[in-house]
Amino acid sequence: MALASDLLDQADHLASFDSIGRPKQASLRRAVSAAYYALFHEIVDRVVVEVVGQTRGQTAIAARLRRTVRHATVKAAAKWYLSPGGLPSFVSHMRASSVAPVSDLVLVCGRFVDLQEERHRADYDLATPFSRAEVRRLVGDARAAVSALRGLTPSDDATIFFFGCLLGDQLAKNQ
Amino acid sequence: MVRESESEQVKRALDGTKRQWKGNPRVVEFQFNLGEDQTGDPSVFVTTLLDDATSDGDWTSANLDPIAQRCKEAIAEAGVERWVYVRFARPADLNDPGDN
Repeated sequence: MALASDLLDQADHLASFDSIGRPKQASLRRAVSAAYYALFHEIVDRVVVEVVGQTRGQTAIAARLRRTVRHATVKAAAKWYLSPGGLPSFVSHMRASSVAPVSDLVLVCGRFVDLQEERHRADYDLATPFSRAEVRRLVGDARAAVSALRGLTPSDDATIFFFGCLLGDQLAKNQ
Repeated sequence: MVRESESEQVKRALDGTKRQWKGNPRVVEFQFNLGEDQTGDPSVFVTTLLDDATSDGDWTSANLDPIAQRCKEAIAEAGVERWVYVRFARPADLNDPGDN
């Protein structure tokens, strides 16, 4: 958790750096990247706790588990909760309730997908500059998503999402 | 009857969104391109150009999420099955060469 908080503070600092005049693109782009990684690492922490439990969160097993969570699988799991057509059937089948997923989980998923794409743009697409206002908005989004994630209470959807972060679309196989 | 291309469907959806959007900040224009996101999913990348007069104080997701949400809904309603990414800029931002 400390890493995510530190990355968010770093993102804020970079987004406000060069406060007089035009900010450097390098600062703004690193701010977007730090904001994305704050959310990514917070999600990874929650995945580890979901699988091995809080008390074993600092073990060698947990460390190995942390390394197995991939950016693409987190994105795949996030998209399950954002599809305009509703939840995929394999997700619906795992849920005990037909009540809509909690808004905080949907928010986390939405921010993650958007931030991942912006992080990619920040690091690889130099054609369009970032503005300070847009970067501050993205950092704010990451902070809100981390906060929502920390407030997420146990539920079928949380478990499905965190296992999905680990397994991605493998979770949909052999229905 | 000639079937609309995906580009035409997206343009129609965004034109309608622009006409209907009466909120603040003011939308000057929607630009878009079709492609794949970084994990290979078919996507629409929408750049929402806001009035140059939009203040930093108004540049919040609380104000801008409704625009993004409306774009996503309109594109889905138009029958386009692509992931929609919406970002925001001022026209002046696009003309800024940056410092790279």
